[in-house]
Amino acid sequence: MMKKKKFNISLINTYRSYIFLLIVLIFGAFSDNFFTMFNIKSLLSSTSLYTFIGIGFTVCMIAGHMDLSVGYMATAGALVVLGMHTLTGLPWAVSILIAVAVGAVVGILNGLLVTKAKIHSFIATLGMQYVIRGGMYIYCEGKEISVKGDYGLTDKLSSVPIKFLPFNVLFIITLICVIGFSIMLAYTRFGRNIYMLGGNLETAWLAGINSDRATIIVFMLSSMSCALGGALFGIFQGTATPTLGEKGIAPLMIAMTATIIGGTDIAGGKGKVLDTFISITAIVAMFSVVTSLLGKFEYQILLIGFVLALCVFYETLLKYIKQKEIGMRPNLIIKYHEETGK
Amino acid sequence: MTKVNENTTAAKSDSRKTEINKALVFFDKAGVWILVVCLMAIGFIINPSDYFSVGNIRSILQAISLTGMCCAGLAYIVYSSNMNDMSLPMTIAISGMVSIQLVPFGIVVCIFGGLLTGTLVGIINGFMIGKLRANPIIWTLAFNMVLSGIARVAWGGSQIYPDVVAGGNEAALATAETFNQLARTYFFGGSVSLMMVVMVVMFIISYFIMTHTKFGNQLKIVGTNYETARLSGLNVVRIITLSYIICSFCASVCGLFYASMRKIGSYDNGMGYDFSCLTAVLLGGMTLLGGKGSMVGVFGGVLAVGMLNNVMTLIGISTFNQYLVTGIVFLLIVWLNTKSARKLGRA
Amino acid sequence: MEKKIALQMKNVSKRFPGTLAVDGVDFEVREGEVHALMGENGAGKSTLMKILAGLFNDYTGEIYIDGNLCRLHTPMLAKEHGVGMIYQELSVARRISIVENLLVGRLPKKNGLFYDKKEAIRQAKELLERVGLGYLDPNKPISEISQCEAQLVEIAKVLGTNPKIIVMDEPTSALSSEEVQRLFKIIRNLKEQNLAIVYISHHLAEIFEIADTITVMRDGKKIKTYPVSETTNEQLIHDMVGKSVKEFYADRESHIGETMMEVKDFTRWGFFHHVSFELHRGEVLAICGLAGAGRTEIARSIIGVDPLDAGTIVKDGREGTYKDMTMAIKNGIGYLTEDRKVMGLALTQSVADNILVSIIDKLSRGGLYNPKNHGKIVEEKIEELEIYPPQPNRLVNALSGGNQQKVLMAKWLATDADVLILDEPTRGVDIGAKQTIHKAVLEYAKRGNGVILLSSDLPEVVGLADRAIILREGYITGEISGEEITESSLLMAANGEGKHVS
Repeated sequence: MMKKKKFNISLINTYRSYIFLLIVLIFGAFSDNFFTMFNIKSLLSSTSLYTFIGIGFTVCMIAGHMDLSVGYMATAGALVVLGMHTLTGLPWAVSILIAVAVGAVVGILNGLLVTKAKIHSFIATLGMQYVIRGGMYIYCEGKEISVKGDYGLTDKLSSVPIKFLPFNVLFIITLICVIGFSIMLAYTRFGRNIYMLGGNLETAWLAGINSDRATIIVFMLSSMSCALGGALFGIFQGTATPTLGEKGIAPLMIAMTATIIGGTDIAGGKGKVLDTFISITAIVAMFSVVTSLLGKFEYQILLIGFVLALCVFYETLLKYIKQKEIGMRPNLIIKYHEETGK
Repeated sequence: MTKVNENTTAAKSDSRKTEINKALVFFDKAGVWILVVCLMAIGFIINPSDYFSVGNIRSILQAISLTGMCCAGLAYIVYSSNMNDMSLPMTIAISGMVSIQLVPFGIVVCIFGGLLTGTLVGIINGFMIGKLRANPIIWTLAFNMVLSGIARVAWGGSQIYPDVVAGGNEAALATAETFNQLARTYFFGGSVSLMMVVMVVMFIISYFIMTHTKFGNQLKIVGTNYETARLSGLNVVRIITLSYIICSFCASVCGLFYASMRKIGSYDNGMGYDFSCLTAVLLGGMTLLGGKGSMVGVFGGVLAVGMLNNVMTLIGISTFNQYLVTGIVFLLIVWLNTKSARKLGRA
Repeated sequence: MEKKIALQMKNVSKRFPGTLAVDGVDFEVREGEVHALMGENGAGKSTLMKILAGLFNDYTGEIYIDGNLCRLHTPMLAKEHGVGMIYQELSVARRISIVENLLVGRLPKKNGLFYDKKEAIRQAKELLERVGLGYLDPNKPISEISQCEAQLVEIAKVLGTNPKIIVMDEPTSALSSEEVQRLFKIIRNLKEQNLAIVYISHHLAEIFEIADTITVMRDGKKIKTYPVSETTNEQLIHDMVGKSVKEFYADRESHIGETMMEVKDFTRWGFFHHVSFELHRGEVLAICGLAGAGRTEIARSIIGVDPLDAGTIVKDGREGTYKDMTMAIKNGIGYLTEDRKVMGLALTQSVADNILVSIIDKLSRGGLYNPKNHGKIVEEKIEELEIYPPQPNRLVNALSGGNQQKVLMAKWLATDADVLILDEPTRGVDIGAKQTIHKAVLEYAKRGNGVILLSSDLPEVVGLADRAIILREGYITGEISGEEITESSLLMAANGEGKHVS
């Protein structure tokens, strides 16, 4: 009987991001305009930027690293794509490619700092944060860049291709990326190797996985995902400023929070991109619900803080309690039941 | 008999010794102070007449004093291998806000209340991380959000001003004025400010605590290897909790001066301090592995950040573009730190 | 019939910053041969094998596998040439499932891109079957299986790569004797398949049981190679140490006094039940049992690091339990941990800091404390335990394994505790250091203190202990004392046989 109870708790923990989303949706039902087509559409499209950043952060965390540069990378992506299109006059496709390429370069630099210079990823990406920020200001001279007249792609991104579904093109691209990364992580050899990197770097290296190359690729994927997300977001908004990553709750914080609520282990080796995506959706939905029910922006941050704190507290407590049971011998537990009659 | 044998084998292994890179040893010892000296030289070359003037030195010290206060506390967290205290910004903000809210009760209550708030944050962090072993980054991040939420909800998302809080009350207005003057008190004809004195005193006390007290020496072992410390009979829970309390206390001192300087209590008072302080501490030679570095180094790190900004301003690099230089210098120094530590077997 | 040479290393050297770890070694292994590689700690045998496994890309010399010159610069290249290595420290990822650990780096593919989960599980089951772990669910993460099982998984992992040459670096350190026999069966099986096996171990008995040829190394150089039939224990030790060891454990007289500590009805459910024993002054009491019998757990519960469900300790007229190590030390109990790198020492701090760590509380005056004022204690201990080089400010990292262990011992001797619990005090330590530590232990006991010795090194128990209690699956099953303590009586009792088992 005791065992059954425990089983349920672990199940709740496994699906906690879904439960979080469910709770938010139930509260949403009490709000008048939550379940309207328009609201859901705008909600889903506003998850896009966070999701791309969340993908990057999660992939890095599974590999046992932290990428703090994701937020500014997204901002840089938005600035580069708009700059290339508006200032330099390149077509959209090329501009997006250049933005993603910039992401790749930053990612490779991050990876090199971590693998070759052997700097802790937390520090390396912290430094990279400054570099990206500085580079960005130099590129745009501290000014806002916006689409000038050419709103074709912006309209296309916000159009709804399938009727009756509140999915605009931006959200569909996001979804495709989430699914793509999920499949990559779960079903390909490279994906499984990423988990192994986070699980035990030495094991991976000894087993002949080229761990340096894999780590560099992980950082590259992370930065590319953020750059793409930023680029799409910039086009969708039609404008980009160098302070995109600083206003309100920074996108980095949202991505971090969502990754942890999604159940990714901070030490690496465990986690899912899909769960991160679900928690991002839940967080964004919660913002909307809170604003419409309580009418105040202030409660958003309080609630998200509490949810995150709760997750961390629960996990910590579980580990604290479990620690005492590690190594119990099954044959002796039988004796325990015999002796105490429990 | 055994001893003789030991010595001969060891002597043999000594003869197998290879050269150790002298430059790395030098760097390991001097660390960030090399950078400080370089920056001084550059500053002197650019602006030989004014660089060592009282005015310029004062402006450098004044600019770093707030960060410096935080770093004097944050160093304990990094030293104890708990990476970073992400709740620094809200500790700074909330202690400033609480003390401004307490302005009507007199300056003593006001300062005491602000410091107590910060200490309380430290106790909670210390309990979660020291006792329950929560992941330090994630927990302090979550707690920062909770605090941020509390601050926003409690004050309705608005900023507070000392003189507004004081209302029409004469005595309270006087207190508000005293509070605002905290960050504007100068000694010796304006060459030394109270903030600088507080910062330097905090560093001196921190240096003393780290090297000459029981707590500091035990913290060194806790930072190097938690399990070893625990199994050597050190009270690890108390030590880690204490280091969080010190950190939060330092942050709340910074918060008081911050609020006093801006004459505003706001939830974005300490924004960005989580990473900017960590940058200075790491620049000062501490590593995320813990147990390495010293307060002298951290002070050097803080000083280097201030001087770097000063020199860049002298050269004429704009504030925004300074990020790039800061980032590159930071990565370079950390890389050298890591490299020398690894080559000398310290990492 | 001469068998084919599978592996030939010619004039191989490897330099670390500061030392030449392997110095011009020639080494040969033939097919179908178990070749034991022996030597003290730091003799360079692990380094030599790590070169073979491709961990270093800057060794010098030539390595021939099957007669072909190979460059083994990454683990990948070594694997391609058929070298499989079982490492001393486990190299498994604890949060990852058994399947992926077993097949790491070579997960089966399907459709060119994806990995074939079904096939992976099938292969994993087969491998687990080979090492006798067929009952495990391969989807479980490693963190949910025991240390012994993890060690066997590690062996299965290497078997799965179908190597031509297998290197085993202390594979039995976490195994019980039954599992060691199972491993030997596997090794004999591999021998028949004409594989070359290099076996590193400190257990002489194991070597004489399984090896065909022995190579001895000392100070990074090869000393000698001979067939196992042509050598003896004494000869081997002589070659390893470079001096003859007539009687490793000298006779000693023990002066056993009154009872100083009593453990009453100690129980931690699921780990050990109803454990009671007494310790007398001047006595070395060994707690013996197979790996996993619960020795370390008892020690950790005594000092209050792990929880306890029932039982008390009576010492110095006080009955109760200790809530943490601080309290245990105050009551005069010290605990030397089994793993010096993870739990014992602060490796990146100086020798002085490490020796003084447990007595900071005692030495400090009103919260003030400066390590510089206590250099005398450190120097005393360095001299007593012959720590070399005798520099208090040297980092522990820069000492050899044996000297690190001496520092750990010095730390506990410095506390002036009157009961010391020694958990594997000489594991993985060279013979010289072992002798010094043993001498220190006996000295300590002679001064009227009590020692509780937890060791899986049977000669050590025989040489040091006055009395041994036998622990089997969490229960005390017997007691042996005085002259009756021999390796065979201990082994029999630990396995639940013989006259000493009640």
